[in-house]
Amino acid sequence: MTAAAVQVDDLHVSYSTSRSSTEVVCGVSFSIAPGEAYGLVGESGSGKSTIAMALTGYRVAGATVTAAGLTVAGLDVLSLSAPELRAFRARRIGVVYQEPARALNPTMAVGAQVAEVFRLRGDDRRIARRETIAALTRVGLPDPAALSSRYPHELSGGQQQRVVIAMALAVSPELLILDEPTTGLDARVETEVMALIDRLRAELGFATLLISHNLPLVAAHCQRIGVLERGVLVEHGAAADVLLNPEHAYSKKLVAALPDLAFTTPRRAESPVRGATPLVTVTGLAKSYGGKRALDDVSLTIGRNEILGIVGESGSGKSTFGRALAGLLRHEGQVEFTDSFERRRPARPLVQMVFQSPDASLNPRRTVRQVFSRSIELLGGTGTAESLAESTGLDPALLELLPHELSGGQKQRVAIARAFAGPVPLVVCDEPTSALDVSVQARILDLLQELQERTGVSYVFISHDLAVVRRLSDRIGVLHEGRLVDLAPAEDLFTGRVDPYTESLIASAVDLRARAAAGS
Amino acid sequence: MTTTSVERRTVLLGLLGRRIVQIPVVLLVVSILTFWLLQVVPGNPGRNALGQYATVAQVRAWNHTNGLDGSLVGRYLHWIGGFFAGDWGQSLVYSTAVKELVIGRLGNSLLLGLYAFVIMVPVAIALGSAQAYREGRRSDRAITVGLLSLSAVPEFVVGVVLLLVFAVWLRVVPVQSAADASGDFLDRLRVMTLPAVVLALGYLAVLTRMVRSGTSEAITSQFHRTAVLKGLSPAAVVRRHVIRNALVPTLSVLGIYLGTLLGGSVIVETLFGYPGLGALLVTAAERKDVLLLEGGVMITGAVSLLALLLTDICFVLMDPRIRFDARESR
Repeated sequence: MTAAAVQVDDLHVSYSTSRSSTEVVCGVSFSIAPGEAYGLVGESGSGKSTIAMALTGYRVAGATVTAAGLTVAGLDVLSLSAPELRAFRARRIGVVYQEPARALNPTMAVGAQVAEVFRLRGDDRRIARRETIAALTRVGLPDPAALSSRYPHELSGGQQQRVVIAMALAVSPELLILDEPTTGLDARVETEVMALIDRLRAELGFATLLISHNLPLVAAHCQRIGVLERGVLVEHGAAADVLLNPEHAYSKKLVAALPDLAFTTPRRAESPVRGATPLVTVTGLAKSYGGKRALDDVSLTIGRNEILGIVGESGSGKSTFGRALAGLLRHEGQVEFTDSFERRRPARPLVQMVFQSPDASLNPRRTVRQVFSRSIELLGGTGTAESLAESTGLDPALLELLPHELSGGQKQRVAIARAFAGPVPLVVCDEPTSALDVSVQARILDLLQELQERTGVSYVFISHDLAVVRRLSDRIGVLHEGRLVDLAPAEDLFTGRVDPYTESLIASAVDLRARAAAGS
Repeated sequence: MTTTSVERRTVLLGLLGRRIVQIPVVLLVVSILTFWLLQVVPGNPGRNALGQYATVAQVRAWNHTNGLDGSLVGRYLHWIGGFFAGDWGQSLVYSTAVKELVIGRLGNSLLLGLYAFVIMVPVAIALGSAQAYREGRRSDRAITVGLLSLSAVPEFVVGVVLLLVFAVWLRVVPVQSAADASGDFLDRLRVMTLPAVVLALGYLAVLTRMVRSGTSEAITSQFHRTAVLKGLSPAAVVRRHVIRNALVPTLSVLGIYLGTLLGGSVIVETLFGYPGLGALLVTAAERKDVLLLEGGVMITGAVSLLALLLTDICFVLMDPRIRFDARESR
């Protein structure tokens, strides 16, 4: 019998600061056979990335790693000397990271970054360049010779991730670690990237460890799955079993929290008049960056009380659309509010935004109370910070805290509450849940829905996640390369005749779930 | 290599083209403001030159001979015309041609400024990066406290202490740094060392902090982890993935400091008796020596703007993401 690619016995990792010590991985054991695809699922803070880093021997400052056994590719990782560890990383393992844009050096051409791996193997410059181009070709990048001299920021997210994969697989490792490899990518690109990894695994025979919070994704691409909760492996088994018949309470919760494409909201039927009176009329909205058309002649109306979903891949112009609506961008074309709002005195903001990352949108030095009071003042609200907290399900005790003392879900609640501090007719939500764990995501969506019903605002809800958009929206607009290719009531989009692009977008979302259910 | 270098050349050429237009415009505005502001401040150059016992008529006559009466606009136009023709006028205070005076002092200031810059940059990079790798440790905090205390002490105090130690006590350098240009270069450098060190110390703290935060950001970044997990040696990680990214944020400060240093420093020049531009300009402003001040301001302005241009060029060469158009943000 061949030795396992990975053999982990009783792994413990704890982070210690000068005052306290927290154990983030508590006695995890698993093994991966050569060529096998193994998946670890868990929410943020479950310790899954810490396990990945432990396998590479990467020491995070303050972390203590102990294990009865930690063997990767036949080597005892914990006992390797520094040069041995470097050789191990250079030859035996490859890592693909969550955010390719940040995993690549921004000031170095991508080709040079891939070539480094070959140079490390001892290839001379010429061979390394040739091998680099071969590696870039293998991951399906167009025109690799020209692309190799480009810088990371000149590539799309999908292309960046392909470069990282090329880099990780450059010297045929025995184990490929995929740490949330598709989290920042669109459904279509995700499908492509995962298909690429599956194909290369079949060709080259490396084992994979796929780490993700996305249960269906892991289930679709792994043979076996482990479910992690707060550093403990609570359940493991064959992929389809875990997805379809979860045993542990936590796994059940994860599965239940999945937004489902088949989901239909009952409330939509009750109120057929939603969106009947127009609130905003958008005519010929367009925006160019340099010579590139990010938004091209988009015209639509948003009704009062309506939730308009906007979907599309990254680069489709959906964020640009949201920012233009909110007046954050100079743009061509008109955004006109109905007269009664335009003439409102005193003049108050007509649009508020909820951004993807509450970390980036909240001032780190202001307490929740300060944020709320200021917003109430600016938006002409009548409530107090306490009433605002209460209406968005925040414990008033949190009012005195700073953003970094809150959890991701609480921060996003603050960001949402802010937008509802006063009477604003339109709220633009730009991917408000994609930085959150699934279970939190579901609660934030409930909150958004509840607030909408209570206050009667209109939403423009931007997301790359079709399931989420479908759950909330009355109508859905599909953006592709800056143009509005489809705009229809939500149900029609999934059942009726649609643009070929929309069809492919829906197909890739449905496909993933179908495969997950089938258990590849 | 192909597309990218072409794009970068376009960025560079565009930048140069814009600056060639911008720099003269900025200088023109500066010269107008200087001319006008000097009239607003009270004081009479004729009275300054002739002393308090001269009669009003004598002062008026003196002002007339020196072209200091008549309309402001007319005098400005006369001066700017002469300036572009190469005639920068006569200094009232020194009774010599402004051009020779300013150019001579400029040489001294450039030399001293460059010397200080050359001392400062390597020290800041060494200290700052050492701190970043030791972030939070005692040595990191000690360097921060030391440098900040040093920068809180005025230049003239630091200068006097150094003078006492090195010139009076150890006698390795002279007290006066007004070296004659005829001496050999090494001798001149030796004489200039103390003032250069004092100048450099003034800016060292901020620069070191910039290097520290830049390096710290680079070594805690995800691409740094990528580089480590590639199996690169620590030296290769630093050389290929840290240095460039760490220095990009520092560059903007460097450009400003270079401009400031080259333009001369009043305190250090006065303290060490060094004949630079700074002290000259202060005298000119005090005595309302318009033409001297104008000549000096134009020259220091041009030097600062060229230093900034140099920085921008370095930016383009170091960071492929740089674009110099502000069209996108509002």
